[in-house]
Amino acid sequence: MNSRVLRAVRTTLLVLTLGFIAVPMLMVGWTSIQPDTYPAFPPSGLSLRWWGAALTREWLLPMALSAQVALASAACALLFGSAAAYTLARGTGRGRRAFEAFLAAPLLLPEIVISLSVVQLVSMLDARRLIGPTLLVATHVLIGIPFVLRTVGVSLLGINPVWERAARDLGASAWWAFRTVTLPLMRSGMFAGALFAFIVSFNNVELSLFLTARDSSTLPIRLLQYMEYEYSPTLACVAVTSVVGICVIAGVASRFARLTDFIHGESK
Amino acid sequence: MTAHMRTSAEPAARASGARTSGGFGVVLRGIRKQFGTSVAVDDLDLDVRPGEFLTLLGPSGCGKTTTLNMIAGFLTPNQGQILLDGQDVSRQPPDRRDTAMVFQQYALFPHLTVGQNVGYGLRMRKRRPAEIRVLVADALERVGLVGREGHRPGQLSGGQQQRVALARAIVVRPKVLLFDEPLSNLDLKLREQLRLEIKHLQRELGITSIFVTHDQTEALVMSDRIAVMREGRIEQLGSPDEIYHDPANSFVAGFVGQSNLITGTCTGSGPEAGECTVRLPGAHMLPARLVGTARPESGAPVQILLRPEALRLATTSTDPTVPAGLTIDGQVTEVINEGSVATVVVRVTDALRLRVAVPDPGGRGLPSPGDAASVVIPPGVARALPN
Repeated sequence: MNSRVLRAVRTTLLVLTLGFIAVPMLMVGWTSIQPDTYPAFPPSGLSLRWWGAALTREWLLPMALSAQVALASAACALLFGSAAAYTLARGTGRGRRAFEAFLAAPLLLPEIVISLSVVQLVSMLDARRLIGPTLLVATHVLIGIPFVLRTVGVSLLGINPVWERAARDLGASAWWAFRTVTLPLMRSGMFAGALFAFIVSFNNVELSLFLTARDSSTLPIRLLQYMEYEYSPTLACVAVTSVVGICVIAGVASRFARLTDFIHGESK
Repeated sequence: MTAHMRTSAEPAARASGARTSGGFGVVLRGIRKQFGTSVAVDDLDLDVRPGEFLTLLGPSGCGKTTTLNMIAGFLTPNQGQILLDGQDVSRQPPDRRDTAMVFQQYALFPHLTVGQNVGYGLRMRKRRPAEIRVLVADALERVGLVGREGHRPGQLSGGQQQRVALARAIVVRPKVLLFDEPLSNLDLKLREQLRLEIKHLQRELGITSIFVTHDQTEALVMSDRIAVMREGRIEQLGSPDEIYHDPANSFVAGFVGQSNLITGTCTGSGPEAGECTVRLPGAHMLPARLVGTARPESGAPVQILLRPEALRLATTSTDPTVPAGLTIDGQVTEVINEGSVATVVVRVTDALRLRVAVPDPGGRGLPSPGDAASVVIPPGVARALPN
């Protein structure tokens, strides 16, 4: 009796949670394939009329820029974040906690404030020409690092230092032991972290707000600018396109490493 | 195929400079290791003979694993020298030392197959793939895991994993094999079996081996010599027989084997040379052989060691199967029957309780607590230990 009630509660919660997550996405998806400017209920039919305007240079160029920025910042975040995570996991020094907290500090500041301070900094240094992709990548790395730090950190928890010792004992140099033992084992954590870093960069508005050049915007900024003056279900089509794009990238990545598998432990 | 490899792998080992005994010596000279202010290993000297199986035995924190890690190169001594085959390797990194370790937690690479694990050291030594395949198969055969190359370590039982680790260590034919409590994660049956397998393999290959354990039975069964350690120092170095029968002091006596350690009073030199006569609590007089540096003066307290299995229990004072010797009457307070052996505790006085081992207790009615019993101490079994 008790367990049946418990199961019912659990099922209800699960359905509510799934629905809660799915509703916005379903709404966006639905908006993109119906004919009205403001979707009505009951729906008046299906239409692809908004897609013609979505798949044009006006939207594909910002999407490409976002992808490039996200890729570059994810790569940098991966490099710095993994190195930091390894240092934290293997280090014994007293400053470890402070170091770890410091690396996650960019998540504490409102991103808009970071963006503003970066603009102030480049103005002060008379380097406003850096505004654009270069600065975007640099600031997006800030919020990418904490994600990589976490996922790689969790991966490293499952990697027993004795494995590297065993490799050294069998004749591997320090680098080669890392390369052949630790690195392959932390790879799934690195993939997961890089994917998170890619997504937070790709969708970022606040950090990018003051840092995009007039003639080249990232996709979220372009969406924002567009909405200031008009509204069209084309926006939903653009959103669907970028979601599909990210899913494809995630799919490819998971071919190399099961993303949910970044907690390694003993391999099966 | 395997037979062919055996004959071709071993001349190669000989050509690289092995002595006639087939092994290489390890010498530790004045080794000292400190962690912060605590001294883990204190001015340690040890000479491991070529081809020998030497065990570092001691309680946790005695410095035995630290010593092993310094030999492997995972730790650098603060002072002293480590000579491997005559060469000072104290400052060399682990990958430059020709040692191979078998770890307590197996330490198999989880992302590699059994074959890749065993072949790892050979790949580091730039052997050809075809040669690696043959040597790996041979090593796996030696540890009884034929054809398991393709398995993952996670698919194997603990005992099998440790066998893979053993194969991974021996396949590179190191100058020294190092064992860091390799059996302590296994259950008793498996432990007893692997003890013998490791011992046989070591004898067959003739590789000098240093084995760390806190398990005295393991040490006694496997070793050519045992170094009993305490607080960073070696308390006694000797054959298992010497360690067991002539422990250098009460620490070694208490750590290795079951023992009755009794404090008596020396009343003078004994009936034979190298003995002293001791008055036990309860006024019995017992001659005891002096061990090591023990030279008690008349009237001084002295520690006596009596191994339980050297004593005899007599339920009637005229039992004809009991040998002559000092007979002490008392009362049974406890009977612990383990099947193959029983331990009977006999209280003589409050200060004198003797544990007596009764082998094969099934056939001969054991006494019950409360029964009167006599303990017979045959001549020559008592040892007087230095303080």
